[in-house]
Amino acid sequence: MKKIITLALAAMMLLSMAACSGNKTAESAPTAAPAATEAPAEATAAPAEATAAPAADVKYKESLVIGLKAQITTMDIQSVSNVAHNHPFRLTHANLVTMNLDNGEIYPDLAESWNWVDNTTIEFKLRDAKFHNGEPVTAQDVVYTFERGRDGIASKNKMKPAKEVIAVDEHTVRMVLESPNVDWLDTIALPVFGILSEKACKADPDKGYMIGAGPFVVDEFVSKDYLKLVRFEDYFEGAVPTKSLTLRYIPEASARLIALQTGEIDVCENPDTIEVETVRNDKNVKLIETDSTSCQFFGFNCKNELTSNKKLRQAIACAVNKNDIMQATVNGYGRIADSFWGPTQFGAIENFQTWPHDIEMAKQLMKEAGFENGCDLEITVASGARVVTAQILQAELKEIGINVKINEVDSAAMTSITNEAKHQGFVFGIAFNTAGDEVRRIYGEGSSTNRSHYRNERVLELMDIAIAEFDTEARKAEYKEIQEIAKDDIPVIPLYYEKNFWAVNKNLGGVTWYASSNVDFSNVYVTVD
Amino acid sequence: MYRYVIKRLLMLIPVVIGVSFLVFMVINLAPGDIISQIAPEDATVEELAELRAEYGFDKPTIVRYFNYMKGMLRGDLGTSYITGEPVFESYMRRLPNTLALALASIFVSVVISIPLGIISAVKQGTWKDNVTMVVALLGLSMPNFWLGLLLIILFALNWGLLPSYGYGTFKHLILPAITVGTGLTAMLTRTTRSSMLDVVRQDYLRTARAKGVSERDVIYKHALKNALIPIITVVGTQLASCLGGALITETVFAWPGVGRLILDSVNSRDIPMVTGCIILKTITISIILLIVDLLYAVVDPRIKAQYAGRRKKSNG
Repeated sequence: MKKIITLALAAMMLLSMAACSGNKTAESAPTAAPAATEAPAEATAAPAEATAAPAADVKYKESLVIGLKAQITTMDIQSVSNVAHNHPFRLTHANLVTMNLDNGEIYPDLAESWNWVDNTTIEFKLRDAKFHNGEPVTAQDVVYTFERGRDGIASKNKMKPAKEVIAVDEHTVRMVLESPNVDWLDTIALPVFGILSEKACKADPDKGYMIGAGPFVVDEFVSKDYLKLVRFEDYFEGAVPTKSLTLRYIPEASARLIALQTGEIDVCENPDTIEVETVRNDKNVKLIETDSTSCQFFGFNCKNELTSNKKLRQAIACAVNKNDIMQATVNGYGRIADSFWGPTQFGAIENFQTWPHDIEMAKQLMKEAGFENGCDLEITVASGARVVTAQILQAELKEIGINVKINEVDSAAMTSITNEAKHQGFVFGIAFNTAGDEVRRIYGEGSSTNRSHYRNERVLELMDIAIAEFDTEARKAEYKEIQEIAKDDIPVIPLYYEKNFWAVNKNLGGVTWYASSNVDFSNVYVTVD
Repeated sequence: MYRYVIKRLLMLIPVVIGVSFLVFMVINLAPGDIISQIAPEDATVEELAELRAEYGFDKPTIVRYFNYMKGMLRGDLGTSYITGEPVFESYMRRLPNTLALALASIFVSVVISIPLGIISAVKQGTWKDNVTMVVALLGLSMPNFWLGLLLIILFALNWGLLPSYGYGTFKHLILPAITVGTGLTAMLTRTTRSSMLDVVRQDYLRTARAKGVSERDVIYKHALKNALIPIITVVGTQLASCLGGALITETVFAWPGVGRLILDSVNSRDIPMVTGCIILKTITISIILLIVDLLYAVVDPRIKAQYAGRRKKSNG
């Protein structure tokens, strides 16, 4: 009997071992993660890849599949704005202008040129371009798009600076703003302002919004499952190399990576950081690694009786060891954040002097805060990797006498709790764009992403001055002052910027890998050997 | 029997009302709401409040429940807050995938477990019995996500025989069906064995053997038929459970089934989708269990006689 059981168990172990040993990459254990201070390997070089087109006689794979970690729930570009939806929206719709998401440079898209008539008026000249339904793109379509945007859930707030949008003639659009707005071109370069066909939208309100002037046409869309696109032959910049592109939701990270390794998909979004070395060691796939603009942070509710104490917040800032947190949470794949500001955002400061990791200083500040004997603090965190951050914080704050209780909730509850200011400390993340006025999201009064409920009169004043400031140096100085005030007030302790990883077919090219995660797949191709 | 079927179907009404009430209340009691999921990041707190009012969240939960039920009486299960699609449409689009996976898993389970259970019972105490029980125990203990990934690595990555994810062809169905079917097989093997052990020592089987009936006929024609009732019960329950969605397997294999639809909707607090899907799931499971009850009558003449007896009594 014992022999039989031993044999059965041995058979099961052999089965497991066979599964793990058949492919060389599957058995490679991840090696030590890079040091926190290590410079990004491909971050700066990666965006240039899109311009490196293959030789003319090269053959392309006709159909490509991109495995995504998040669902695409709708193709109405004005109803949702997030990274998961920006990927498809950039493929199907073209904007008036487009932007290098790493440095904020603006490029022509459907508008071949534009000029500021005065501080609040801008005129665009449209190029000859067609929608997927064969209709020409006209100034009236632009007006329709922006007017429709006033009602879109994702676009209506972004439309607030626009007083009116006027079709001057068939190829000229004039926009009049409520007040000077330096970031207006950044705003209209967002996917929510992809130009819609008025005719298509009016003919079919339920699906007409899928008609754009982008490089791909929607062929089939199953919400929360997949989106199949086919090449738009009349695309104004010329047909793209790939005939058919499918964006498919594959929720499980390991399964997504295996699908890439088996060749079933060509792009795998965000493989787990523990599998980064596995990807590096696989000859058939390549790893794309970019710095991200997503900042993970530890924030405080400034409306709460306990955490409204500035000295206490400063004490905590000195007690936090960001390196340890980054190592534990994302295996060290990130970059320490000194200022709560996007690394590619206008006004970012290199080597910003922040609070040092100094336990003695922290204890002194605790005394000044009136908590010499310590205190209790609740940290609210959504389930997932950020719980690890909260656990490290729990251990670190114990050193200065703070007894941390972790309140783990799901993401929906997390958003509600922070919006309603029912929290004390919290662990969260935010991705920054390039516009300087992004600061309004984190420190603006009433902003739902100002989860600290932070309010500082001078900061609010500086934000309004900076958005209307056309002198670059003066504007930079205003944003610097905001960051210095925020460092002192410390409503948020920025921890680290995550790294972005994509695993792709070794022959893949034509993609622009932006740090903000808003990857542009318009010219994606896979060459055939 | 028709009266019985009608009675069972009528019993569905209070069940659906009870289930819908519980689900609606529980999901509303959970912290967080859909507004935080659909509102743009730049929405102000005031705009969030406006959106809440627009979606009716400013009304008491009970009022919203009655409004929902009014719609349900007209056959409208609501519209998803996230996708804007009717709930019924979303559910029905995913149901065939769930049904295919459920039936394939049950097939795998039945084909393997019934012969194994019979052998195990007939050869009780021998090495065959012991091996079967150890394997059944392993099958029960193996987590689905682990087994699923193991199968993907073996059959898709290493040997390239089957696709690692997705749906649409028979090949896509094999690995998810084996993953779900393994756990079911283990349980059904144990049930078959225990049910057969109850039957094989009965006097009528001894009589059959004494009359010279072959051992094969004794087991398969006489014993198995009488041991089938518990087996049908387990298979029916397993099928009903699978129709609720095999969440982990659906996630590992990117299989767009009902389970994942419900989980995603719970996470995003998509109340109409959660409530509607669970109501439809309840109806589906109740019908499956009714079919199972009716199958008893087909398999066991005594139960059939009971139905017939009731009919005579009511006619008389």
